[in-house]
Amino acid sequence: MFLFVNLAAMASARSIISENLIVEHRVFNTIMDNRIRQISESARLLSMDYAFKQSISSVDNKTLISIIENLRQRINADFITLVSLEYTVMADTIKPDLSGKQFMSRALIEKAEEQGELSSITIREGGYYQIEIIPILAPDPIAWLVIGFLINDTVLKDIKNLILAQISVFELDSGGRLKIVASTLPEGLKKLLFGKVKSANLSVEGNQSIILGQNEYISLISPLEKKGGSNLYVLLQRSMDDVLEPYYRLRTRLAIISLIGLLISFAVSMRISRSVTRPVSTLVDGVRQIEGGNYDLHIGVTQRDELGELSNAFNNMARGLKERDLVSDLLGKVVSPVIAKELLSKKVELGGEEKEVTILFSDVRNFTALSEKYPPTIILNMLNKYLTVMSAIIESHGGVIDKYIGDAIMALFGAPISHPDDVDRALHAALDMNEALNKLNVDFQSTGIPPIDIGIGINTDIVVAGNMGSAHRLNYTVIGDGVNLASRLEGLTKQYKKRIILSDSTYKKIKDSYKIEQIGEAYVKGKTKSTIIYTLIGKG
Amino acid sequence: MTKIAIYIIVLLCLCSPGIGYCYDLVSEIKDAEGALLENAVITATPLSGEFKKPDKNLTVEIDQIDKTFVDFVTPIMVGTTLVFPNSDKIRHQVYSFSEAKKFEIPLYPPGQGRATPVTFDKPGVVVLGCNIHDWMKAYVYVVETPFFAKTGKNGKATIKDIPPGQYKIEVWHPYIKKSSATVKQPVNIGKEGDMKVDFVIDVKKALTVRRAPGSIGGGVYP
Repeated sequence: MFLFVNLAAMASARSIISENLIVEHRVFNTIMDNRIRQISESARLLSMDYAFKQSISSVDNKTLISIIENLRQRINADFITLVSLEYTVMADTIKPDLSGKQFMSRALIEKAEEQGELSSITIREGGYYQIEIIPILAPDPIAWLVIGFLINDTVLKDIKNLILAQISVFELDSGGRLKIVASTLPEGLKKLLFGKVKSANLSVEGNQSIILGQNEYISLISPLEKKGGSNLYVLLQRSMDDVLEPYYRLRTRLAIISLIGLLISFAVSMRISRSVTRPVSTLVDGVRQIEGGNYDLHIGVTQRDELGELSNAFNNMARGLKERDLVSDLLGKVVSPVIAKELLSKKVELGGEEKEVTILFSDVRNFTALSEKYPPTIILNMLNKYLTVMSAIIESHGGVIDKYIGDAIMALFGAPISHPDDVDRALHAALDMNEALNKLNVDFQSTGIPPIDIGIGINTDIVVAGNMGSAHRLNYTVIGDGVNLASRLEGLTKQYKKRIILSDSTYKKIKDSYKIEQIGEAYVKGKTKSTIIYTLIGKG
Repeated sequence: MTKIAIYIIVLLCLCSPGIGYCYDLVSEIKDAEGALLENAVITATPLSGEFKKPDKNLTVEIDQIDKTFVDFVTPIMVGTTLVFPNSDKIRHQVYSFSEAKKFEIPLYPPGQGRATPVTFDKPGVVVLGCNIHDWMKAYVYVVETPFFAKTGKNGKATIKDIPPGQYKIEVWHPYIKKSSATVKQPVNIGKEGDMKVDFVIDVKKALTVRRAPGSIGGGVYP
């Protein structure tokens, strides 16, 4: 933006200067003309004086010089020469001994004779003069008065006070060299100007730009004397800086103001962003911690804005997550993880659904007798070890521990989630439990615990699965005849001296191959129909 | 002045019974552009240098009427006395700074014979001015021959009663340029001679002071 303003200001300054220079050039010419005209007018009036005319034609040379010197002082000219009609010097105020010699320029007088009078420019003794040639009429011309006014720095300075532009007058000599006659420029710039202005500059119509030192000057060059005959040129110059100074001041102020504005807005935006980013990064940190499982954190954002609300919500969320995690953890310990998951994922309510479930019952034989023989701590230790191993096997086969009943385990295959091979899973689990027991007994023997034996009953039936109990305390479980039969089959293992007994309904749903033997029929309490029972020996 | 010339001629003719006839010389003067020139003076000087001098002092007058010299050009023979009557109601001061005759008649009142007569004893051009009226100007052309005449508005001048012989004929005008051819000689005046000598001369613009417009104090004395 500064650049555009700058360009516009420069262009405007240029055009203002250009216009001014043209006016000033006119003013300069008028002043130069008037300067000589006015003074010459006085000279003309004095020349009309009868006594003056009379003395010219009658007195001796010394008196004549004295007369024109007096005239010169009256009109404040720099020199006056009186020239005869024969073009000889009658008297001169600068060089008295010129009297009787040819006037320096016969052509000038001849021109004056033609025109009646003449304004021109001439050089004498190295000085440049504006001259005015006027006749002394008595009443025909009896002599010519040449009145000269020096062109020097002082004169130009006087004019500069009126037109403001820098004025330089210079001469183009016959060799094409430029010589500065007078100038209002300071000495240093004058020297620079000497090198800068070439004769080519003289032919430029209108304005041109001349750089002097650091400063650009818009310049206007024109011949000083339009009538010709002299090679003097006048150069009017105005510095861009002079015109642009108010603009430069304004620009500096603007720059300072915008810098301050920038700093303030930077500080303000820093504050704002810190008030936003700090709580946000705290929140992000909190989220990471929650991701890592740390629900104990509390975010201390006290702002009363949306971020504060967000932090409060976050803290509430963390608290909620912690509670839920606690519940889920506990639930997993109390009930089977699968049931826990099922409970957590669904709305927990009383009621159940009918499902085909394979129920596995296992029991430690003679546990009562065992517990009487050994101290409870050993028994408890043994039982925990046993239940841990067995539970792990059941769960590894997708079974769900429904409950522990003392040393007995009730496990479900097919509830709450059904698999197409629930029966096989139960059978494999039973076989693995059998195998694991052998290993466990080796372990027990080394720690002085007597070996144990177990019985496993497996039955498949459609039962009701669901949450049962009161509205405040409920259990996920299955109920039905099938459950009782499984328990009964487990009880039969002692009688048949078999470890694993299957019901007929389970047997019919087997898909893998096993070593199975039919061992008889069994009556179940409350049922009139008997069921064929099998023992599972191993994999087929 | 023609009057004077005729008078001289008549005198000459009367006083030279042996010569017999005299002749008139007619001259027409034009400028380079062909315009007929008034106020040119034509003179005839015998190459023999012999002519009969006037036997009594001649007197010619230049009047001042309405702040103007009348006539503007007055040719006279050397030795003639000029009188300057003042026909205006105001005073005039007549002067000349010319080499041929420098003089000054300080402010003098209107009327005849109030100014000292001035005798012109050297040939040449005498420019007359008035000290108080810058524009007033008159020329007195002082010649050494009795044979001269001034052109009128028609550009013609006639020198009357010139005895036959060889002459130098010259022309002069207040604004004549030095470059002009002003002399013709010998010119044979006589029965078979040239009786008409014409000149074409260059004249310059006059350097004159302009008369103040509506200049007051005018009016001609009674």
